[in-house]
Amino acid sequence: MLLTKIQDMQFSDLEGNFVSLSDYRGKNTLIFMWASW
Amino acid sequence: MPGWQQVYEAHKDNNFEILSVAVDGQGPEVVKPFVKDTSFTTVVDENNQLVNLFQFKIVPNGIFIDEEGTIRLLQEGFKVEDPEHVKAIEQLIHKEVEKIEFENGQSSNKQADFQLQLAQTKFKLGMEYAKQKRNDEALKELDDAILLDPDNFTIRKQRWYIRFPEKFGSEIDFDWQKGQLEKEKEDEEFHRTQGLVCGPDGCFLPSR
Repeated sequence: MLLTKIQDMQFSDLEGNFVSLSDYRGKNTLIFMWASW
Repeated sequence: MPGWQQVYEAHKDNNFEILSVAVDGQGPEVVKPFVKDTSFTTVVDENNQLVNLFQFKIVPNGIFIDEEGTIRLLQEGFKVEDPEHVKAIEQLIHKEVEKIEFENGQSSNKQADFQLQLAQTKFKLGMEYAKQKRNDEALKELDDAILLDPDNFTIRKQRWYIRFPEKFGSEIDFDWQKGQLEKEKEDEEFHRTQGLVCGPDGCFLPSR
């Protein structure tokens, strides 16, 4: 999947606002996945 | 998270953003305390969209995308404590490299460690349920634990003891155990080939 374009996805932030991956167009972005458990 | 906040502050003026994605199924309230000192956005991936897309079997993970959304790094077991991982981010920000791939050897060991730790946690939780006679919940945790740590006989035997109490009477039925072990191993192998994903809600097959 390297060097392919990521598909758009939508999530909710901690206040319940929608955040899309496409909101990060134009920025170098590290998507960091983690868990509290 | 404090580590990533430092990386963020060092590079945010370089057209760099961090999107922190908590894969907690328990929702935002569980996540908040962990990110209170960060200034980048955190979202909750309650439906495991990213885990399922990239078939991640563990966390934490890093995905670096450039301004056009092109994926330039995709790494399971991605950690701010690993200087190579932080350096990779810096190289990608400065466009010194087209993409970054790490040797799998070292990181796969770390992955294995993480899975074993998770198996232990699930094992402990399962045994707590068992103590309270909540056997269905206990077995669910133990099933997950075995999938994460298939060679762990402590967990497997405890699970047998709860699921098949009749096999643990005054005499231990070793022939039954041997046959049962072979059967379980086959089932587990089958599940693994189906791309089992282990997340906060347990281990499951990716949705079709």
